[in-house]
Amino acid sequence: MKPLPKIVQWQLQEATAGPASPHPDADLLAAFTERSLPPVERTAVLEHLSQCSECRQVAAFAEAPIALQAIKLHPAHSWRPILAWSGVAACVLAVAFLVSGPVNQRRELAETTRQSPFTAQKSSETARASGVRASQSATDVSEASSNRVRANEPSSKKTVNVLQNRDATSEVARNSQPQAMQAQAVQTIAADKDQPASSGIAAGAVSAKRQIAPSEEPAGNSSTDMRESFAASLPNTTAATSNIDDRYPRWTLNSDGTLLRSFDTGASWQKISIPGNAALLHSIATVGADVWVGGAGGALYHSTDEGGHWMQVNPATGGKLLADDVISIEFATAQRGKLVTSRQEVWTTADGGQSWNKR
Amino acid sequence: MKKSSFINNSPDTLEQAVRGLHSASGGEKFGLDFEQFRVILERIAAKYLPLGSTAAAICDFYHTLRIEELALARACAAGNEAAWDTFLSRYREKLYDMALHIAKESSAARDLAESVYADLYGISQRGGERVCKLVSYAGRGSLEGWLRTVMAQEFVNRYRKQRRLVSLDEENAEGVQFAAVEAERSPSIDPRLEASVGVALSALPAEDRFVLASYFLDDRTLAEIARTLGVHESTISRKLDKLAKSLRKQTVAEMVRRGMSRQQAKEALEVDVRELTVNIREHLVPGHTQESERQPFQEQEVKARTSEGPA
Repeated sequence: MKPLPKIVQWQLQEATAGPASPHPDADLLAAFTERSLPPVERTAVLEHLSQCSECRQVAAFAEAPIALQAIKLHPAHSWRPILAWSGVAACVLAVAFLVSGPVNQRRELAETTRQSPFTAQKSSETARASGVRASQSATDVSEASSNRVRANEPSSKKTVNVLQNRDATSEVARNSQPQAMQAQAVQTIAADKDQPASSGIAAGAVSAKRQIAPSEEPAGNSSTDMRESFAASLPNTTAATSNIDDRYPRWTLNSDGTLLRSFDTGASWQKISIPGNAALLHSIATVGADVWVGGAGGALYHSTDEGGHWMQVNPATGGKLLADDVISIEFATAQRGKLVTSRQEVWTTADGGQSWNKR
Repeated sequence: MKKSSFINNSPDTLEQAVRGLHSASGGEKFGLDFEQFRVILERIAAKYLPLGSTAAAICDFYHTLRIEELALARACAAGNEAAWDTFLSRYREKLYDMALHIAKESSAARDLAESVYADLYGISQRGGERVCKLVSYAGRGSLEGWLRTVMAQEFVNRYRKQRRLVSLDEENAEGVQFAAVEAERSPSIDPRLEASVGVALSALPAEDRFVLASYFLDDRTLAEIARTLGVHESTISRKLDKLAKSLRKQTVAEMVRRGMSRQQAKEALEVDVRELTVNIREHLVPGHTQESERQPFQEQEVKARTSEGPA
């Protein structure tokens, strides 16, 4: 990267010495970091942030962690807090490794953590076995599709987020879409940036500790029957590529429209119910922690926190509300997406769902 | 109240929408009845929407709010026990995790988490009345995101206070030296260069300036900036390249407009500011910003800094 002329850097610093507008309140900043501000307000916040180094700092701190990241050692800028960086970094990494270890152990850790409230030890083993079987066959099924993806994106050596829905009855109609969706996802998440290796491992630690949100029923509840049947239904409904971004949970819709999420790379799945939704769900797309789910009668829901909370989205254009079934969704980035309805209408958004156009 | 004008004109559909939202919010089980809920929503709309917004716009706005979390938070603020139980079971432990993510170190994290928790609960008394911070949650972002932001603000405030104390001491000891540096700055920099850079920078959209500041001033990585803005990392990389090029171009063009030759302009750009003996960044930050008298993160105008005395 060509450095900026020093004078420019200097002027930038001066400009950020005192913002012209008042500081955005915690609500605005939170909505900004969650990318749920409408365009006008987002620009206003960006304007302030471009001039206010402290609010930038707050915004940076306020972002949810995707995983425990290795501590970046900053040069001693006068406005950064002075803490024992190296000692802390060593501690955090040590904890991450101790807690989670290599990938295989992480899966077991997630299993046992979730087991304690409801199932006996023995049943957990059967569940895990079937879960592993299911995800193995899921991987087999997906080899074909992932090869197609790799053919399309030969230069891509990056990780991909799993999305996929499979409604058995309309498999034919959506045949062309899965590869497109996967290709999109590859472009989106392509560069795994400068994430150090430990972040992937530590993700297991984070997901294992995750609390279960109220709307989530652990698939299986007090018996393993449901869990096994969910796991067994997976080979038909989950298409996973072999390059999966384990920083994010996996999602799938099974054939009766149930939304499922896994934090442990497919070993166990939880049924996710979206508060206030009674519509049958048909389509799903994810971009990082963002999840979009569409269904019958124009049902469209968006979560920015991996399914913790949902917002109903009501696309409307020219005064008309979307009312047909949403049969496919694709999001290339968190902002740009499109959905296809049962009447073959294509609706697009460039601002994360705030406004839509119909093609 | 001046803002009640559009509220009183609300047609039936708005009222119906609010009823629907109230029942979806689950507020009733926390003792939040329809009237209270309606007033809460109206106040939030009054805060964020322009005066004279149509009922339709208000309705749309209400639908963007996180009503379930809003009802929970406001019920907590009203002292409802069931609400507090729910809040604590969902967020008590998360508070520590969030604090750890921000403060990085466990005892600092514990301090931070406890301090925010005390604010939320309203333990800190002000003039005898318990002020519960949850009363200001407006549901524009998730409650968890709001908690993180509140925590981040608290963290940044604490360290700003510490740093300010330190730097004011320094300033008192070295007052003369700082003043000397100010004067030294101007002769080395051609005012036309300075003005041109100012013009070029201010012509950029807010997002571009945010990216520049984040990358060059805050040393954030491309990945982090991309994540904040919800775009691909390569988008940020390309944007920075383009910005660096166009800034040079615009600055040179502006200098030429102000009477310099292209050659002069290009040479002026290459002047290395590092020739100045004092680190400009340190010089500009604590003692010389306009922030010294500002209340931490309340919605007030930034006050101009006075030159005498600590804040």
